[in-house]
Amino acid sequence: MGSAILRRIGLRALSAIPILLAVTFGTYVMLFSIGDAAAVVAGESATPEQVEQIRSQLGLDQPVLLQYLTWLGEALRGDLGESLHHRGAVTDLIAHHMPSTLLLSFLALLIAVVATMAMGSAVGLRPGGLLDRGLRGFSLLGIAVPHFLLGLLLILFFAIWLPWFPAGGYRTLAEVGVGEMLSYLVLPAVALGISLMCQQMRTFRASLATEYEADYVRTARMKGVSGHNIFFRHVSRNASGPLVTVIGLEVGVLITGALLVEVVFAIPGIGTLTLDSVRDQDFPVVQGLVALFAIVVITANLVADLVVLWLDPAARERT
Amino acid sequence: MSKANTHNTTSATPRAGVASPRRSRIRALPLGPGSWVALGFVLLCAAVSLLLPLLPPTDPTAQDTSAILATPSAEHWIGTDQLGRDLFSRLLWGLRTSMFAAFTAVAVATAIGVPLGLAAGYHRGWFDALTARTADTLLTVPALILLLTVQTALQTGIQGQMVALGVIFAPRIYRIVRTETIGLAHKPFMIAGRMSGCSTLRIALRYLLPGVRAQAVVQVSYLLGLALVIEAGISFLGVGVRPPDSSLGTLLTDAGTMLATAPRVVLVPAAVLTALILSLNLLGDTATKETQHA
Repeated sequence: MGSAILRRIGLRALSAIPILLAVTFGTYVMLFSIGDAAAVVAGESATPEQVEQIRSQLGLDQPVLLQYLTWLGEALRGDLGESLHHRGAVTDLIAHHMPSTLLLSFLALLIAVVATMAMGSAVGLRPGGLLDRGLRGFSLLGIAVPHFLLGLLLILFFAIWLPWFPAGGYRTLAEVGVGEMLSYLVLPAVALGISLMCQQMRTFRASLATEYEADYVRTARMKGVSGHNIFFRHVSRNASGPLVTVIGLEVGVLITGALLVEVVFAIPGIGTLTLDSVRDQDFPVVQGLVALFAIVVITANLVADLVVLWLDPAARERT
Repeated sequence: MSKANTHNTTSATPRAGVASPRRSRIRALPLGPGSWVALGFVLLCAAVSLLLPLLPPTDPTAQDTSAILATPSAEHWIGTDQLGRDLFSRLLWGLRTSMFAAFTAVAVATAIGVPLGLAAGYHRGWFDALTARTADTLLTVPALILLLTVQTALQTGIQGQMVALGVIFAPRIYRIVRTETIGLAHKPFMIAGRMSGCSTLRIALRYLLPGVRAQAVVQVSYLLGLALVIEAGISFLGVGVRPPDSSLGTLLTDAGTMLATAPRVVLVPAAVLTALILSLNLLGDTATKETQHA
């Protein structure tokens, strides 16, 4: 069994490679063949000769496939090139903006998963009850409100009307203590977490409903197992498979949401870097970021699949 | 990658209702009260957007310097903004921009996704393999990120962006249509059609299209909502609709500065945007249930 799983993981990882190549190549063509990096570097007042000179300096007069392969070779060695606007390597820029985004995403996911499980256990005690119906309405609403709007509303409620949290900005751990650093992340993480929770809630509720009809739940009830134990020891394990898959697929939403939420709360993270690079037409940075996002999305889906296997012995047997 | 797989396996199961979808089921739709409200709101927004130029002239850019940040009155139904512009007319014109933008994106996505999905699902072979891989690739990166990448390279206006968004959305329609078509391609009535000498075009239009329509409509409903979110997002980020034009997104852009002094300026467009997206999602959910039960 062990080797079958390993082979499966290996195959899945291998099948991601062509997709990654296609994503990065497509992005490269879009940016460096259809877009004009040389004109951006040269500035608006440059003469055509100057633009051409810069083009050959940057190697942009080469065939695009050759350029891409050069980029790919360097990327594989951990070099994503130089930013056009900031002095420095793209990898340094990304590394510099990464911590706050990682922390924000982690907190948001944590909030979402804990809330989903808590709500799920409460709903499970009385499916179809008032709480269940209320939560279903809430999650419909939560999916409809765009992330940045939720962020704005939270600022209005909990930073302006009730001045509990800062309305924006970010301090690193080195500058202030843990408590203050987290206070900057509470509202953005909640804004992002609520959206994620609402999506997870829909899936989780559906799989909970199926599980609660199963025979083993009735058996457990007859044995006199308490509602909480039925949920945490039996149902939640079996109902978690679809939830984990959804969390894996949500990473795309998380990337998009973090971008908008970071801008709303003025957090200097990957999202802010993305937006600035788009505005400045900083082609190499955008190229590097898209590659990063693609890797993150693919890895998340892969990990989610593995967790589903780990949760569900039956699925393991099937492979 | 895995996205594609999980999705295909779930929706590839043949649906009973697909076999007899000749007559539109709209009349028989047992819509709940919520769905009727949702449908009504979407239609109202669409009607206002279309007819706005014919409605009593309200200039969304006219400044009334004597009424800056005025509270709601008979003259300004929901007050004015920080430049003394009437918020109600800005809201309506913004709604129009947003609706047109979302419609453009989804129309482009349908125009690309439906024919490609029909062709890939019916003919299979190398064309299917090629388009399916392309769709997988496009779906790997979040739509907003792809759109921002295109924007980096091309620096276009909102129309160009929405066409680009349509291309980015196309795989979502393509995949649904392809999956449905694969399920239909070997049904007896298809074989009968082929044997009676129908042209491929006729088969596509008369045999396949009615069968995939229900699922495509569900997807269109969700995509309209998603397009509204993305338009609002990029406009909010300052790379979509630019001032002085307004959309539901730009109306929220000033939010950061206006939140403390006049939250109304933010809350009203926010409520309209949310209600519109909520309605479209609700309709999508209802349509999903209908296609599953049918």
